[in-house]
Amino acid sequence: MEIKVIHHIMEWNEDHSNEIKKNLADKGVTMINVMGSPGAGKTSLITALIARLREDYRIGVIEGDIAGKIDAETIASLGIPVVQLNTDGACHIEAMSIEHILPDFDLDALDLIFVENIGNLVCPAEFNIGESARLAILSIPEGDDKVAKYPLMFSTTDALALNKYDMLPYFDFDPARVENDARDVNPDVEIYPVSTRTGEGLDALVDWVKGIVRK
Amino acid sequence: MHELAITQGIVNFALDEAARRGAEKVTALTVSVGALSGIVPDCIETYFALVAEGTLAEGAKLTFRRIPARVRCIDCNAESELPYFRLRCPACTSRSVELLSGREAYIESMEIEEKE
Ligand SMILES: Nc1nc2c(ncn2[C@@H]2O[C@H](COP(=O)(O)OP(=O)(O)OP(=O)(O)O)[C@@H](O)[C@H]2O)c(=O)[nH]1
Ligand SMILES: [Mg+2]
Ligand SMILES: [Zn+2]
Repeated sequence: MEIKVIHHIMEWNEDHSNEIKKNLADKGVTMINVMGSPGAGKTSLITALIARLREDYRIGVIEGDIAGKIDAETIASLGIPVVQLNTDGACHIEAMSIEHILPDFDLDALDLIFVENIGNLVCPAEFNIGESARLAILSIPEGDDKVAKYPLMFSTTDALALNKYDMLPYFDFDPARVENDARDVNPDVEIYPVSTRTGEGLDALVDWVKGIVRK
Repeated sequence: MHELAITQGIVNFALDEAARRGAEKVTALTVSVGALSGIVPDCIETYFALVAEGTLAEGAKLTFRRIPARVRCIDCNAESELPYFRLRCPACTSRSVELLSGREAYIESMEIEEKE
């Protein structure tokens, strides 16, 4: 017997994502899903943003890694509450993992959570994790063809940080091409050239974060 | 690796549905996949046998219905299929397009054998 079902493939993840969204909204917490390749500068950028935002907001971090807790230790050394999430080989974070980990935070004592997703330009994009916004990072040494080659990540992000902008003189990287390719898949994406090393461009990105933190 | 998680989601849904209807076996599944969904049918196919093994869905025939990405242009009114993931009107290159299809990712139907 054939039965019509029409069941969204990602529903098992979406249900948890929506649950998290509701929970965070009740608590007045904003969550930003930070994604990008291994080494793009996710930890560096989160650290740089924390330095510029911690006077105004109470911040927590979820560090997603396949294994280990190097990045979590970096964040913890700043005196910021951090929870390590190891995916045991999985290339992405799922909403259910976030749901399990949120009780480790005192949500009443937080305004903003950064989630550092697994270093990967493909898979994390398919999984909503209850975030308020997505921040994708592409670093100059990765090359200016990455948006065209990995469109999904860039099509689903709210903001795109072009990190390691200090390296621009040393690479054949055309920022205009990246902007054009990004707008082709995501017309409204906000693009921020930044360098966590020199601090260039970070103020504008900080303003973007402030704009989405729940009042 | 994420296709494994997605395949598990598909099989779990099919098994729940089969159990709910008191079915003995899931014999076929049809999955619709849009060209822009990021879902890779070949990978799901590979994992499916592995995930379904030893369950009511073991040996089920998996069929994918691939849905092309189509846009309607706000500027020139043309309706076209997108050759790549690029939300631009292929006729006039405008970015003011409305996406008509391409993001789908759902289980459309399944076939079950009921108990006598
Ligand atoms: N020149 C330069 N180097 C940077 C910048 N930002 C980060 N880096 C360097 O890039 C390397 C990787 O940075 P991380 O912040 O660890 O990158 P990540 O994305 O967190 O890496 P994974 O967690 O391993 O995926 C480090 O050596 C950083 O010092 C930048 O703006 N300019
Ligand atoms: Mg890191
Ligand atoms: Zn047109």
